[in-house]
Amino acid sequence: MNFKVRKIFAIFILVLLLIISSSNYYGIKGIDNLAYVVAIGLDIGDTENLNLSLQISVPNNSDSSSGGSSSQSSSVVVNSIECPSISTGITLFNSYLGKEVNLSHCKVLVISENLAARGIEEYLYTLINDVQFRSDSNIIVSKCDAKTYLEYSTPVLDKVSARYYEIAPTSSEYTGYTESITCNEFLSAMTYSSAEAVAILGSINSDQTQNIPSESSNKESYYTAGQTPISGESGVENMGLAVFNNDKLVGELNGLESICHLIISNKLKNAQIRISSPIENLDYIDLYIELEKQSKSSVYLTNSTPYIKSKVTVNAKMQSMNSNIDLNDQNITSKIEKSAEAFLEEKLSNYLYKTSKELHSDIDQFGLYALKYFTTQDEWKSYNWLHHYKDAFFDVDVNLNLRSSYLLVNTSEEE
Amino acid sequence: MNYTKLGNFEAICFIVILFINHIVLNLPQMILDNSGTSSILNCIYIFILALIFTLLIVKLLKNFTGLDIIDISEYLGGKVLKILVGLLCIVYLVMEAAFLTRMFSKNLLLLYFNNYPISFFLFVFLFIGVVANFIGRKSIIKTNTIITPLALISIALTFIFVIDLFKFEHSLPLFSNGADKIFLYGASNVFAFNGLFFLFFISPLLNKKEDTPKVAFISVLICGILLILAIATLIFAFSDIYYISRLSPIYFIIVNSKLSGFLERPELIFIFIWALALMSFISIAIMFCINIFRKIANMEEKNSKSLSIMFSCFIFVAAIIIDNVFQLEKIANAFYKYGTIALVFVVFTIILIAANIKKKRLK
Repeated sequence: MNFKVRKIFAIFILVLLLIISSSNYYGIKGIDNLAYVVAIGLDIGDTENLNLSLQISVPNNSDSSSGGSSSQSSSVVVNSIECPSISTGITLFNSYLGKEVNLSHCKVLVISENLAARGIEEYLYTLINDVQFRSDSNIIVSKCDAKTYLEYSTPVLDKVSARYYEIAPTSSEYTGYTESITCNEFLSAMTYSSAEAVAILGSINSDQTQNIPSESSNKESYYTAGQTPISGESGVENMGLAVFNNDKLVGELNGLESICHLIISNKLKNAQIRISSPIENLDYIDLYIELEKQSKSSVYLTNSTPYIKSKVTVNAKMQSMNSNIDLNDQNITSKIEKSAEAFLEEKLSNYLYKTSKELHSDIDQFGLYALKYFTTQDEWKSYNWLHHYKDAFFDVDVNLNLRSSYLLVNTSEEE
Repeated sequence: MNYTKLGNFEAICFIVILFINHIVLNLPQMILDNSGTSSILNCIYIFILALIFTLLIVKLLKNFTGLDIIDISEYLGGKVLKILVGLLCIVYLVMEAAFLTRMFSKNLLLLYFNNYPISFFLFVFLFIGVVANFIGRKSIIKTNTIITPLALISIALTFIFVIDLFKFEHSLPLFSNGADKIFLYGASNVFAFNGLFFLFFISPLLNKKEDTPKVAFISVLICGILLILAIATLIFAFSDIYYISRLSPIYFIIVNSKLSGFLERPELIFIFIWALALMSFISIAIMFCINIFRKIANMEEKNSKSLSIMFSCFIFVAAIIIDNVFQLEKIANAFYKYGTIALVFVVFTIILIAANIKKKRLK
């Protein structure tokens, strides 16, 4: 190709690019044509159909309260519809709203407890199959119905709902009371033959739950979603985990059990535990814990029955303090360590037996450590790990190191 | 024939570009579906097979330095065999380009451009191939040497982003569906090294013809390492990868990587690079089709450029002819596997062996 032709061709391409980039294609859909869904709620409808709720973002609406309950964020509306399937529901919404529903900004999938108990496989696969739906959206099982959950999910300290949904599950990093589970992680665990799935447990924190009996006052980490005695504006609360067997909800874990789950599955970042004090001047001791190294689990098969050993190493910082406590005293720290180790061993053991005997659900993926005993998939399938898990025995060994306190080390008074 | 000569690096890029286009589409999923948890073992096995095959080909090509498979076919069986092998090669390249373009365009449509007709994307990709061939071989070669490393880096990067999800136990049970599925039936997965097709053509294109073995082994090494890395990443990071077949496993890695924590749509950067890799491969496929056609038709070079339009039309028709996506995937996967094995690993090898025997006898 000679130089002149090349030059003409280059100019032609340049002009074409300029025309295309500066023109407004008739098919392009902008913010005016789309209704952006922030959260999806799934529930059982009155007629045994699916009840699909969508929390939709309202752009440039900062003052007016629109739809839902009074506590609803002003920038979102919640609409629900009874429909035979998710796709049908979305099509009906398209017709009703006069805008095309777009799921590409959806951050949360909320499924009611009732629907979860019936099985959610079909809905999850349908959503994951949707191009717009991001599989990194969080999955929440709501103890109340999904629509109510969406209506009450008020971002108190945030203005944008989507941002709120992004940030809220990360609280598990410093509380350990739940875990940030995405739809993709849920689906992976659900389909895997060596594990079962968990989801975030959520509920509304209402006036009834806020008037909790006084006997529970020392059991802050034993609450599940909706039970925390927080007085304030009613809102949603994510605490604990919903446990699944295959695609069906089989039980729930409270805050402390969630911490145990995170410890065993090596996902714990930080958490607080409260133990009975072995030293004078304190009734209870609050410890801020983190994993020192990865928890090691081993599975042994004795007569086809799994025997599971877990070794946990935890670092702790002492949060509680009172007068006349000398943390330089080796005896005191040793006593605290022993007491905390016993506490954690008991709780971890109880938690593991609960998942095995009560829930029959291997949510800590112990099956992975049993795979080495099988050479082929056929052998593994015929053994049926998830069936044998309910007969499992556990042995938990906790090593806790009290590393430090915070600002105070010694508060011994002069004699 | 007046070829534009290739350096060693440029030749390696020629061989690797086809592999790259396959790996970003569904090559990993094909191996995973076939070998399950033993896919890593299977990949190591087929890597060794590919190295042995390369060693064999390099030895067989030693007596025909400076000749490609078309010339060798002519030497062995005269014009008839030359035309037959030439046509087979053209059909192979046209079908490879057609299926890859269609699959990539289909994925683009599904993910981002729902309302566009598929013919629009096919046209854009093929138009670029035609223009590149009109501009000249040199530009195709140089562009490919830029795009191939870029695509290789993009694929390698995707693995780094999911390292935190690695669980080595996901690769157990080691023998998945049995040893026969890994070592007997699994041997057919050697088709993954389909870039070796170009090995039979690059000898006369090389600046230093004696470097053919070097180019061959480095190319196979790059493809092998990348394949093992891709399969290992998918297996270690995602437990459900055996149970759920996805659009493109490499795309799936990016969507689920930590990178999406920083960027809203990180996959777009990668898709752009992979689209460039596809354009580069289409240009190369058309270029080789023209070269082969010129050889079998004894055509002058100055008349051959307009052939790129003809070949792009063939690719377009082959790409659009199957409407049903499920059928298309089945046919494309069968073609990638059995077409490559039949042509590259059987027909070419037989021709080379027979040509070597003939040469020995004549001596």
